[in-house]
Amino acid sequence: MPNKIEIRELGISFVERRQRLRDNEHPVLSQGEAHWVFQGLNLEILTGNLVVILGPSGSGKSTLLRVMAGFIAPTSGEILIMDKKVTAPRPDYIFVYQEGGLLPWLTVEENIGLGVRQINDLEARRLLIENHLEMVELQGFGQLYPHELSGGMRQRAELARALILKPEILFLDEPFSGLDHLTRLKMREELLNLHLYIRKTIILVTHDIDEALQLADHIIVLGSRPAELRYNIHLQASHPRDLNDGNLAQIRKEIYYHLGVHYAL
Amino acid sequence: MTKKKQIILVRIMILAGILLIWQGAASKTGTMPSPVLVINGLAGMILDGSLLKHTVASLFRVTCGFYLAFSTAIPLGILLGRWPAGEKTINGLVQFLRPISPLAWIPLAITWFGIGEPPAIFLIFIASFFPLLLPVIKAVQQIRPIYFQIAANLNFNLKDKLRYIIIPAILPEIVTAIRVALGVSWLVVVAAEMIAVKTGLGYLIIEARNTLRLDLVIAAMIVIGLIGLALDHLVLRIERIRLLEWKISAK
Ligand SMILES: Nc1ncnc2c1ncn2[C@@H]1O[C@H](COP(=O)(O)OP(=O)(O)OP(=O)(O)O)[C@@H](O)[C@H]1O
Ligand SMILES: [Mg+2]
Repeated sequence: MPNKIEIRELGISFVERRQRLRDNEHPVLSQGEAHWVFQGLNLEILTGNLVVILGPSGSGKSTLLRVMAGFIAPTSGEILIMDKKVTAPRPDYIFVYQEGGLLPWLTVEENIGLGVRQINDLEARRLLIENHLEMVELQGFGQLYPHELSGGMRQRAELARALILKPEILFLDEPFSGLDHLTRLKMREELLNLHLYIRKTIILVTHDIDEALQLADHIIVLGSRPAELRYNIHLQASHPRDLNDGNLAQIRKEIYYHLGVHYAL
Repeated sequence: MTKKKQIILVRIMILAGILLIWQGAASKTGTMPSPVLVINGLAGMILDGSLLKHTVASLFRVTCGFYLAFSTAIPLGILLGRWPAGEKTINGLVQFLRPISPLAWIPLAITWFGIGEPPAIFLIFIASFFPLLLPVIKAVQQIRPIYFQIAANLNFNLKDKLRYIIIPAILPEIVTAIRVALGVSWLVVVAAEMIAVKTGLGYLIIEARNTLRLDLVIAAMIVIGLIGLALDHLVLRIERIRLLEWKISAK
């Protein structure tokens, strides 16, 4: 069994919802044009890697993530995870949302407990939830409702809810956006430790190039409309990384170049 | 003086004013029973137990009709809210039936169900069905799609979806809908009882009119108003329980 995620000739198009007015040039009322986010995209990701996807806004990063997680069916092509075709969302491929994925009517504890609701032993379940609260440093906040937490705490709670499922793949769509710089650095470090510890596949979307360089085993840069693969590189450097190190500095330059910025300020 | 006391004082003054005007009108026209007469009539009905009997009969019908409507409209509303094609198909029929006053159903109700409890209960069912159905459909449609994606990710079955997502999400709207539907039911039960049955506050009013006891008519009206108020307060109480707090504070 190949330990990889294969994206083969992936095409995704959205039909513009706006309807065109009937006029002389377009005698038939059309449904709007199909616009391709991807066309014939090929990509391979090794399982167990921490993969970071970069790209300009609107380039289709979130869309790619959602297709891999099974939430959107590809218009053409296919995605294979360990040789199995992705057709629907599954509990071992968990998607963590950019914002607001906690159920507001459940407490933090109850939200995290959703993933282990089938465990009947109440004590075992409580312990598991307690452990995961600790893992994301939310011990003592279990009884609160999401709206009583800060943005960063909410994102950590969501991460805990995902981790308790012991997913094979974790999809993170800009998980640290909206956090202050220090919390962000801290979360980054925690994610890295977590990854080194559980060794599961993590696919993360971010806009932060240094974040990518710090975390990734594999960096993918998408260009826009329809998105193509602009840059695709595996990084072997050990952690913690010094971004001024010659090799990493060179990669960083290239990433900036492929994102259309010619000089990293 | 506190604000609360002021409000109570104003209320007492308004009530006194109404009683005064009423008393004046009664002594001038002679056809209108005076407040004292009405209170006497009310006391008489309380003492001989007839008021309790009729009130219980009315409340029983409302409970039955409302329960039937609730147990069909809520599931149907959830189904249609989650099933756009079905909602589109049925929407026309619903919009057509909705503006027909429940009272217009009286003749059909009697033909279908005869005389007695069933037609009265049917009318209350009709009256509370649409005020329950439409808000539920709308509330379900407005649940954030992201929650259902989470449900797919967490492998929720139908029961889990209902328990963890749909029901808590629409609970506030359900409570409001209950308030409206109960109000309409209470309006309709009085009318229904004027035709099909021999008990209930509606029957009491018709009976009193037939025996030319306007004092009892007014006494029954007062009781109807008070019970309507009590029902409304009861539902308002539910609205304030902890279960709904997230929505209030999230706003
Ligand atoms: N449901 C949808 N219907 C129509 N078009 C969509 C839909 N979702 C995404 N798109 C389009 O697909 C393109 C890619 O969107 P996507 O959200 O994947 O970008 P992104 O790279 O995640 O951007 P950002 O960095 O701003 O989050 C955009 O042009 C967007 O308009
Ligand atoms: Mg995005």
